[in-house]
Amino acid sequence: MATREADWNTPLDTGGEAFEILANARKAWIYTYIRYHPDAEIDDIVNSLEIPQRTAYDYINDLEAAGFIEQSNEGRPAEYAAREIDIELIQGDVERQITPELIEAIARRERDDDIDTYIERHGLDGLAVALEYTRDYVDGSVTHQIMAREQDVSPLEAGIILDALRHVVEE
Amino acid sequence: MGDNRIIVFLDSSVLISCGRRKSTRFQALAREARQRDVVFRIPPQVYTELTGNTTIEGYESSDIAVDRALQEGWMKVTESPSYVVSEVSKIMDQARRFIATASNRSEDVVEKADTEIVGLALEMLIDEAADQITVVTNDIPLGEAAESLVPQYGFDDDQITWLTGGELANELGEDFISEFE
Repeated sequence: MATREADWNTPLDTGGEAFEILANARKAWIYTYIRYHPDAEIDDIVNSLEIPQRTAYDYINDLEAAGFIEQSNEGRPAEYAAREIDIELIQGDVERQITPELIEAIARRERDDDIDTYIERHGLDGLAVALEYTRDYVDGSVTHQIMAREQDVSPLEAGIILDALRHVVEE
Repeated sequence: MGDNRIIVFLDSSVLISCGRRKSTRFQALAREARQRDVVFRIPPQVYTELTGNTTIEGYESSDIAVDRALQEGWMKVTESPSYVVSEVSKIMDQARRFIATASNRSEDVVEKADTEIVGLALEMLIDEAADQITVVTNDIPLGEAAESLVPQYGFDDDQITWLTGGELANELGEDFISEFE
């Protein structure tokens, strides 16, 4: 469970093609955007992310090929819907789940510098651990000081990431 | 209610969340202080947590804004709780156990200093420095500890109130990534 410094050799960091969504915050953003906006069109996605339309098409094709999203209509413009995913990774005695919430947490680094900094410092595995703490935090079964002590980070850093991830688990 | 003297304590969890959005959330706090006509109090432990050698490169830090709030006069750092007052020391130990139980952990992982805000809340009531205390924290077990323990010392339930940051001021609970709402 302990993730003190970034360890880039964990399954979440090294996983294959399907895990590209974890390494590319913009892909994570597109998946999450589609999840919140069922039947989103490409233009909506392009506007929300401010990326060239061509890049958006490439990312959407990748996400579709990997099974994260699917076209939800037959005509044009194409509309998309997100698939609920729940992938379990086990390496040794470490178990991690790739869920829509984890992908949303990654997507948020596009806008939230604190999440970006946390991932830089603790890796995606550290983010996944922080997300677990955030669930308990919102449920009222942990304080930021407890997370700080158990994860060997300062209370300030624990408080920052719990506040940053709160909205991911609150919905 | 008009003549009631109210003291409002802010916990570090709330100030950290304001530090992440300095410009808007700290302004919201300052506005609440004005509207409620109170000076927010923070325990010394909270001040140390926010301004000690804990600033980490890359994060929006909250220390500058806290010091500015102190200078502007709408926030102040209190004395440490009086451990020599037996009730104060006792309620802090109780709060420690309460938080450990709520989080299903051993007591070792909760420090007495984490509960300063609960000790101070009781001390202010015992000293008759206030008729009502409000504790503002996003750490749910801490808020629940304050609300459930203080009345055990002969005070009414309505003399101790726990609010989250978002309950104190809406802006403190808002998500700033509107696309994901």
